[in-house]
Amino acid sequence: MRKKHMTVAPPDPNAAVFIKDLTYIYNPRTPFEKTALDRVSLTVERGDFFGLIGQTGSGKSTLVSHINALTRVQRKYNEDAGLYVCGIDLTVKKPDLKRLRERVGMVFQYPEYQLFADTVRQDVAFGPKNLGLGEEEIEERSREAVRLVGLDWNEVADRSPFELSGGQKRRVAIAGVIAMRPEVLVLDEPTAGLDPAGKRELLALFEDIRRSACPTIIMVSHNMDEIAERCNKVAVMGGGHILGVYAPEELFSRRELIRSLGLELPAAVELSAYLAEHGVDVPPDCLTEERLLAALIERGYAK
Amino acid sequence: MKDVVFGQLYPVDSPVHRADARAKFLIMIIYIVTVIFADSFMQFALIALLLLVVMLMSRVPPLKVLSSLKAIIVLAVVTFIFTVLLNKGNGAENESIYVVFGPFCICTSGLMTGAFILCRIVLLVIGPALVTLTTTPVDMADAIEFLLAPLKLIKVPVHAFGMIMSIALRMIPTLFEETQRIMNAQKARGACFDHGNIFKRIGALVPVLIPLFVSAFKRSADLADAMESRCYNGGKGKTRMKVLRFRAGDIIAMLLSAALLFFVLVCVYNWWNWSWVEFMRTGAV
Amino acid sequence: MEEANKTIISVKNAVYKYNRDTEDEVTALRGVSFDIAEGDFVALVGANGSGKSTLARLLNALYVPDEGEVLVGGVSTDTGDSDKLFGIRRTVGVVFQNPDNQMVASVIEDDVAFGPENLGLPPAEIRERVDYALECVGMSEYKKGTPFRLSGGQKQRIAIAGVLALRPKVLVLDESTAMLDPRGKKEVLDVVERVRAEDGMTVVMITHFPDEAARADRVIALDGGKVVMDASARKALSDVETLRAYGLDAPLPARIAYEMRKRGALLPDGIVTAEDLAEALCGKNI
Repeated sequence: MRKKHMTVAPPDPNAAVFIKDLTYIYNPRTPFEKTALDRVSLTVERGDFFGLIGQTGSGKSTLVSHINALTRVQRKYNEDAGLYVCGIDLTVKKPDLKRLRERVGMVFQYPEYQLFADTVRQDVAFGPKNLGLGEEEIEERSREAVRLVGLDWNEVADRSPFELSGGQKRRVAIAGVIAMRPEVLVLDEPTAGLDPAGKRELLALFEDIRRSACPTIIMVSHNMDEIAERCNKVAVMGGGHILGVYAPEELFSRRELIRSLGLELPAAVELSAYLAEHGVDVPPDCLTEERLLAALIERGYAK
Repeated sequence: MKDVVFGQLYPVDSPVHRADARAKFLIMIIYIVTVIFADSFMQFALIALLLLVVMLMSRVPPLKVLSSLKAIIVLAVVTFIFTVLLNKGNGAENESIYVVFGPFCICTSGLMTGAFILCRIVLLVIGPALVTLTTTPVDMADAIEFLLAPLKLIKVPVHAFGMIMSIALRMIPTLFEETQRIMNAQKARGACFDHGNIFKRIGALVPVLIPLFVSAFKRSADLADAMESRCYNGGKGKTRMKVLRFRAGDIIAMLLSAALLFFVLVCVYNWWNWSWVEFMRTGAV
Repeated sequence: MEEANKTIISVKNAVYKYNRDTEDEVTALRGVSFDIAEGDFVALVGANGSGKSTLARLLNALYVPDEGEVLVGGVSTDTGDSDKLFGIRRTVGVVFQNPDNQMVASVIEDDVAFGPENLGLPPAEIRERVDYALECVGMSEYKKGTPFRLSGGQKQRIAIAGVLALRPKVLVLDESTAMLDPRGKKEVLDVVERVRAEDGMTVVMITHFPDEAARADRVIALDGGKVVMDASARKALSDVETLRAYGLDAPLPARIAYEMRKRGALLPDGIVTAEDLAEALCGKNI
């Protein structure tokens, strides 16, 4: 018997990602059955720098891998669910995957482990080539992508990606994704394993990329400093549910929620709260280092 | 994906699960020999009955056990058809020939032989399947290493085999996950693994295999460092925390299986001309 | 009576090169020297590529320096004698970065038993050490299980147990928290805290997280294969400018104090923790 698939009301045309009541179950009907997503709904607008936080196992990865159809919608459990990414309906039996992968770029954790080609030029060109673009177009996009990640094309194009430093490898891998000119870029723990300077530089880079190339970024991270510093909206996940979508200021003032989920506060919030508690005249919820410093200056602790 | 580690194992607790893996392995070997020697349907019936008892004790659902036949169903059917068609009959009185076409015919003795071989194949698959369904891969590797121990005498590096098996079992799920992750990463860059002819498909795997090799080499170098740090020295002078000891149940089970083999041999050869043996030869082929 | 701070590791002008005498020769360490005394808690910091992981491998004789020497308990690591080598590796246990790449067995207690089994100890003693080590890291209830379903932090605790089962005097953690989520980091750091408090373990923690380094008593910073800083944690971690020059970060309170000093605030030196900063700022606004 075939069940009819119901169509969900057309999504917000401006949304980059529209998710409604999405469910996903691992190993259904076995002793290992686990509900990873339980009727999750979420909208990411174009232009958002969208944070996704939650403990390991909260369902973040499963959610994110639905966004570019690496995990396919389980139609059996999602008869009334909706999943549109850049206007492409992913709940249908045969979604337009080619168009989808062109529009959604995905930077996995430790992306340098996906490098494979003999030269940086070939590796970065892999994505555009799969899109079936012409030689010139591929070359142009590759150059632009390598420049965007802060590397010098002439210097690295003909080198083997394997002889670059760790940080450079990661940049090449990211260039390989950006060269596809996606509209939505998904980052999974993009700075994991980098040293402090490397982290800072890479994060600044994503801001540039958002301004000049790819307007919407979704970042999955455990690093609350980075979330507080960059994101305009943050979704909190726990136990396969979206527990809320907040502006960072609002989110990190809900200390109880953050603690109950076993998450951390940004270092600046933690410090300003401590200072406020211990007799320093400063608001207890300064989100970033800059804001805390500004507040201290404003209150006359320094000029 | 993490479940590959369990291989065939059906994870419940039962006396069969708890039995020593080496005992199960030895019993399996005795069982295979028994099935190969058995030469009548009556003996098969006895073996099947005992197998049923073990299966019930193991608490593995019968359907799960039977599903192990899926892999050999084609082989079994083809064997059956050829055995039937190529059998020319034995010319006995009760022989009837049903169909003849060209050099082939279908006759009573052909059908009997075909059915007999089919039974033998089924028994040969189900017995070992029960062992893999009730034993963790780790215990199996340990059992194999133990049973290979006599080969040390002829300078076979049994310890190294054991270490390799143990590490392989440990690493297979990790590498499996890694493969999945790399394939996903390349898919996200528009790679396709299920299009085009065989050469195209193999070519499409290059962006997966190279990162996988790079990572496997890194992992093996890391593992070597970690092992050396923990005083690994090629197994020289190594002791074991778990001293393997057969328990009474294991020994009884092994004796019982040896008794079964002996019983079947008596039925086949009837060395002492016992009359009841004729009963066990009912349906001899 | 034994002297309280007896030197246990002594690194003397150590030079280490990868692919020595080939075209691809890379010098990872260029003459590194320091001593570590029993009971010390040292953070070894440095940007990626500064040579800190190479140094970790020199401390338990996985690598032998090309020039200079490394002494563990007075014994040079440059030895062909397997008894001496075992002695060094029993003294200095190293936990590495990737928890998945350190486990040899598919059953947790079997993995922890790997080290003592290699030492050839009697089964009863191995059992005792394994139980003790799993207890230390709080993983006793998982001992019969497989590592695959564990979190990163739990796996890393198993790796630590595998090292503790050798009963080392020095625990070296080579960026052992780098791949873990915040909860996993905390689990590992709690274990470190515990073995320090309960067994007086000497700990060398290699890291580039400033908040982790702040737990140590002493900080050694590496850059380009050389020691560029070796001071008390307070002194080293409040030196924002120097740390930045080597691609490192100071803890947030130190950075705030530094920026405020630049803007004319009169703050005492050596601010590293939130307490330090609160104390310095209290009632100082105009």
